[in-house]
Parts: sequence; C-alpha cells; structure tokens
Amino acid sequence: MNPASRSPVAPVTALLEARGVTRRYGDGRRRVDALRRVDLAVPPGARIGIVGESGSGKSTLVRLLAALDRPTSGETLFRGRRTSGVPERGLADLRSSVQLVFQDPRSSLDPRMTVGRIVTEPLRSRRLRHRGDVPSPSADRLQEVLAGVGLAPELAHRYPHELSGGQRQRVAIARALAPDPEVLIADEPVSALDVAVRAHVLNLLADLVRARGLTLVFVSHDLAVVRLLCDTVVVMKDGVIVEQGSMEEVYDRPRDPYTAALLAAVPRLRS
Amino acid sequence: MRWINLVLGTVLVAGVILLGLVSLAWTPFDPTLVVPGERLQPPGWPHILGTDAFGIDVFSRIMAGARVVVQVGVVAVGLALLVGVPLGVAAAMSHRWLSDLIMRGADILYAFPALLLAILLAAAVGASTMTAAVAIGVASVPAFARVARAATLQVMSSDYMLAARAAGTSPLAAAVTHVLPNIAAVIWVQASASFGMAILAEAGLSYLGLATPPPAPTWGRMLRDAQNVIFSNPEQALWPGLAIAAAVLGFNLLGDGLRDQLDPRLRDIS
Repeated sequence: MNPASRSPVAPVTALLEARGVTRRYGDGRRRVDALRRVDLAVPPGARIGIVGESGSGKSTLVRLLAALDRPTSGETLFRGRRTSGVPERGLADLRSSVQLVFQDPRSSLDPRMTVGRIVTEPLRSRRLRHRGDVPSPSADRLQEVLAGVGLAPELAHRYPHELSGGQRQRVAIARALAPDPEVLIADEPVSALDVAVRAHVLNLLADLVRARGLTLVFVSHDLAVVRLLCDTVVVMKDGVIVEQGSMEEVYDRPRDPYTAALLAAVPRLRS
Repeated sequence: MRWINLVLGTVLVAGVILLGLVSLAWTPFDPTLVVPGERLQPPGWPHILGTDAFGIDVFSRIMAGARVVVQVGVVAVGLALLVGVPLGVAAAMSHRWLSDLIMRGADILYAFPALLLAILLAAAVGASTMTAAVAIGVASVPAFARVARAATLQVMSSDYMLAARAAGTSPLAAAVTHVLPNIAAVIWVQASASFGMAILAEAGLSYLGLATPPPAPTWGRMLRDAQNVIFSNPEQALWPGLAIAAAVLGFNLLGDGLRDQLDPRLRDIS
C-alpha cells in the first residue's frame, strides 16, 4: 500500500466525510454562512490540503469533520457513520482515531498544565480508551512520544510558557499523536510560528505522517506549504469548494480563476 | 515590589487569625468581665489599650472579636465559594437555557437586599454569629457565580478546551482539570475581597444587633458601645475601627498578592 499510488477518488469508504454541510453563524441581518453545502470525502491514507484565504471556511470545515462543531444543515460522517447531531458519548470511535493540531499553541495548550500532563491527556480519557489499543498513560509512553517529536524528556515538567514557539507546537503534535490516531487534522499549524522554525515543524509533520501512514487533513493559506505535505488539494473560497484534485492537476492546470490567482501569488524559487 | 502586597496582606491576616486562635486559650483579662471601678481607663499597664465604658479590657475584647471575624469570614466565604463557583462554571459550560436559568436566579438573589436577608434569618432562628455568616454567605453567592462564569467563558473560548474535547475529556473532567485551575486566581481574589467584605458586613450586623448576641464581644458591638462615649472618649471607637480596617485591608492585599503569585505567566516576569 503505497500512499502515493492511491487516487483520491478511489472507491473506498471515506474515513471522514461531509455531505452538503452548511454552517451559519449569527442570525438576522448579521447572518454569515461560513460554509455553504460543502461536500468532501477524505479517503484512508489521503493527504489532503485545504487552502483558501482567511474567512473562506476552511477551519470551520475541519472542525465540523472533527465533530467539534455542529453543521446548521447537512451531515458529517466518520467511517460511514453519522457524527453530526450525535452526543459526545457516541463519538468514542471518532475521538480515538482523529486528532488535531491547532494554529496557535499558546491557546491550544493549557497554561496551567505541565507538558507531561498535556501530552498524556488523551491517554487518560476513558472515552478514548474505548479503542482497545490506545497506549496507557505511562511515563514510558510519554518519553516515547516526546522523543518522537524531538523534545527532551526533561521538558515534561515544564509549563508551556517556558518553551519556545516551535517547542510548544511540538508539544501539541505530541499530544495529537500520543493515542496513535489514524487521522491527523492540522489547522494552520505553522502560521503562528516564526518563519525560522516553520520549516522544522513542517519537516517533522511530513516525517511523522509518512512514518505512521497517517491520513492527513492540512489547512493552510499557503499553497507552497500544502505542496510539501499533501497529494490532494481542495481550494475554498467564500464557504464553498471551488476546485479539488491531485496536487499536480491543480498546480499545473488550475481550472478555477481563483486557484490560478492563488498560484500566481506564490513566490517561486528559481532552481 | 511584587511581594509587598502578599507579605503585608499575609502579616495582617495572620495577625487576625493568631489573635483569634490565642483568644480561645488565653486573653489578658476576661473579655466579658465588667469592672465598674475601672471604667474608661487610658491605654497603659496592665490594660494596654485601656478599658471601655463597662471597665472591660479593650485588648481582650479585640482578641475575642477576632475569633468571630475569622468564624464569620470562613463560613460566609466558604458557603459562597462552594455554591457560587460550581453554579457559575456550570452556567458557562451548559446550554443556553440552563445558563440563563442559573444567572437569572443569581440576579434575583443579588437584587434581594442582604440586610433584609440577615434580619429575616435573625427573626426566624434568632440572631447569632451563624445566622449572620449564612446571610452574608448567601448574599455573596451571586458575586462568585458571576465571576466564575465570566472567567469560565474566557477559558471556554480557548483552543485547549477544544483540544480537551478532541482528546475525549468529559465536561466534568475538563471543568476540574482545565477550568478550575485557570479560574482559580480570579476566584481567590474574589474570595479574599469577599472575606474583607464579610468582616465589614458582620461588624455592621453586630452593630445593629443582628449578629452575635451579647455578651460575646465583637468588633461591631465595640463600635456600638463606643458610640455612647464618642465625644468624651473617641479612642473607644478607634480600636475596633482600626482592627476592622486592618483586617479588611489585609484580606484585600492578600487577594492581590495571591493573584500575582498564582498566575504562572506573571510569576516569572520580574
């Protein structure tokens, strides 16, 4: 099973799926449709990049896929089973298989928890342990996970504010990978980081996704970053998907004028 | 500089608590013993703060009064904490209708005059230290609920709560492991300020005769007794007034100091 050989339209049950989802915020005159009847399927092993400008609905879409928010209409599914409108206790399968890395680790890491407690949080959850092979929250597992993202074991006793931005995002990645998920959703994971550490974190993500055979949903406003990590790209604008296809297709022959404009905005390096 | 509030607050608060504790075992004189022959003596020896209009040793009364202060503060703030904080956190974490129900209930309680509550309680079961403490505690519940709710809402909007859900953490576990530690600083400040307020309220209630009944000495009753001799012996009002001011100031300073120390992000910046 070489992930590169897989076509994004392979006839397998999608791991994550959105069917005609609309997400509306506010009401009356201040009503905003962050998403409008969006369909998306994430097949197992896919590495999907969702690109678009800010406000295009990409973060809303992944939050719906992860069942962290409810669609106003339409439905979301995990392994063909409905996850929208399902109470939290019915989501054990999804929770134990899908993990997230958020944009800003200063907000996604509890400032009053030590790194060790943060990373083992998913392992201490009874709901996640519903899946039989979730590793136990042992000191060994903690060291293993920290080492996996290139963090020294002694950082386990530190608080997030004592770490650098890059280290913090590594902690967030370690937390996401601790329960051995199948799917990793990364919502602009390097946008809040210094340019100098972005490449390190991106390389780390690329290595981890490859080594663990993770299905990846990667949100970014930066096409160059998506190209590095993904094989499929989804372009969003104003709450709808304007184009989707394999990386090469979209890159070389963009069909939508918006995609062409996005591509033109990417600074190209002379080789 | 950052330590001054905490140190001064701790010293004042510890002083009040220590006076109260020692008074349980020992006071220089009996704080209820009326000695008509030794009325209104000036500060000196053996009465270091003098005697009052009944000839009772003032320092002994201040010591015994500290005991009541601590008792009322602990009961009132404890009650407000135990009821108000869970209500506020629940309101912030629950559905809109339940949240509204809790907060409107708090508003009604807030609108109900605390003094009236104390009078009602005193009339129903008789004025005592406990009725005053309970009345003050109940009246403080809305303040704690509001502070806890506002702080919890802020916590709820952070991505680590979303990450906790993604990690399968239940709302109750998230409330204990994420919300409470992150709102603790605000709650401690509120508790400390409320402790100060409870001391003032108790002094007011015992001044009105709605709290600890005589002959047990309290700082509020001392003020009331001083009222009769306020023009001839103003120092009679000075001692209990100073004690109340020091205790209230102490708890407020302690609250500010705690806030500075409990926030790990502030702690390392010096």
